[in-house]
Amino acid sequence: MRLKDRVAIVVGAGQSPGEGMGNGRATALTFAREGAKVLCVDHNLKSAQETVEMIGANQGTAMAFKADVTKEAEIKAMVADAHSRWGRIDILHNNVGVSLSGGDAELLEITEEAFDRCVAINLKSCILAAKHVIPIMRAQKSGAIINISSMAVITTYPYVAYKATKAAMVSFTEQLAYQNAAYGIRANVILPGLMNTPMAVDTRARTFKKTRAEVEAERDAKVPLGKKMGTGWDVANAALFLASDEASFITGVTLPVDGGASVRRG
Amino acid sequence: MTRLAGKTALITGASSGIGRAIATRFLAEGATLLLMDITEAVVEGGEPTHKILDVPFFQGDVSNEKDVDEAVRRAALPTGRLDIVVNDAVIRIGKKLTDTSLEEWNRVMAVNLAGVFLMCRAAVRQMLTQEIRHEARGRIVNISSQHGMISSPEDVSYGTSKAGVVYLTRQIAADYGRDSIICNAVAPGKILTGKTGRAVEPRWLDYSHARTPLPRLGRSEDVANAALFLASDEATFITGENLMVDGGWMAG
Repeated sequence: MRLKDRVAIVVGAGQSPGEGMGNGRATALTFAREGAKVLCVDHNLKSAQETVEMIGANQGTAMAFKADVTKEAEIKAMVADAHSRWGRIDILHNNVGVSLSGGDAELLEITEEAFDRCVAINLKSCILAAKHVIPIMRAQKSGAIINISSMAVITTYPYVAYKATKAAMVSFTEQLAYQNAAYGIRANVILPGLMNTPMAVDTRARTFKKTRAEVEAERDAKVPLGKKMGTGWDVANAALFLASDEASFITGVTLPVDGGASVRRG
Repeated sequence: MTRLAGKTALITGASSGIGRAIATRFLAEGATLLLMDITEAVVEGGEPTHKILDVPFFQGDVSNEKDVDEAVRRAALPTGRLDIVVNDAVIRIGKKLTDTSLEEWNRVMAVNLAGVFLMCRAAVRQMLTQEIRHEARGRIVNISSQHGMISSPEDVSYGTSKAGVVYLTRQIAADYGRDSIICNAVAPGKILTGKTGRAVEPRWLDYSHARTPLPRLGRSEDVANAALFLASDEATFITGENLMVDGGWMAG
């Protein structure tokens, strides 16, 4: 087991309504399968609880925790819960993020309220979670932080808040890596491409009044590698690698998991 | 330890250093190996790698078209497939622009860049004849370098060749993605392979420590772990990427 006895916080371990496996849930399941104790955090406690039950069914260890990660007090409570429960925090995995489902829009249509909401959910949450975890990791002289950004950072994307906040996560991750490397803490960022997840596919089907199959076909066609979207497991496997000791000399890295979409622009 | 069970892998530059660590790791994960190198002598010393690992060895030059084609043919013989190629063979001159002769430049390009081109071409030709298995027809892992993105200190031909490898990786990924051929690179930072000489001169070690944010420099095993990840079924949606294994050097 590659994460035996590690303690992980997966923020966004529940998932949006729809079919299949989201990135956060797949990551929580993968970490637990490899021996980590996982605090499954989500604003939707029921969905986080479902993830915990799936982990429990495979003899893994996990607890659900409800938090609105746009509020610092709740992030602080989340970190304190994992720390007091299991005595350390080895892995922080920031998976929350919204675009269309947070009201994101093209420049001329975006409202101030929607923009602020996207910034708070996508960017503020990731920075404040790091703020509260870093003192613990510095005291331990070890830790791995994984931020989930998006391929939207390096390819075309229609909506402004998602693109800008996800790009900011990349710069923040590099700063986090550089400033905390001396403490043995690593920070890396994954850029998922077109994924077949409930948030990406089912949200678009609802928004654009299409069938799931139609949205799947449109997205599959855009992926160079085998003309097929990725799955939550692809992101989970990349996160497992970066969280594990196998990546102990890897920090400050931006890793696309995008089926080659970013190497063939336009 | 079966993350490469049932897979056949050809590794160039496999006698020493990073290539040797990759061979050792891949074998431990269940791969069937063919090691290729221009010599069986181990740069850091000791018994030949293929003898220690008890795996087949093909002595050849990656800048020679016939040698490369023969290596791929031999690698695919046992199972009828070549699932993984790792291009690690490399030479370096260690000279600034004004000190580099055309002959030296051409030799570095022949091994470090044309060698990767020849091996990728031979491997992709073989892989295109294979069925897709676990979402991939075949996988290539090129060992690039942070050099080529940042300057290679006083070594113009090396950095230029490595920049070419990164580009070649992206182009192959883009052109053969539809065929489910996966092609990625791993870019080592300062790795202590056990090699002596210029690699561990105090001025370069001091420079590397000063520029590497993590408290230690790299080990060959760090690169082998990254190559394993990209060669395994865990990375089926990653292609065209250049994964830094540099202790945060490029983030600084």
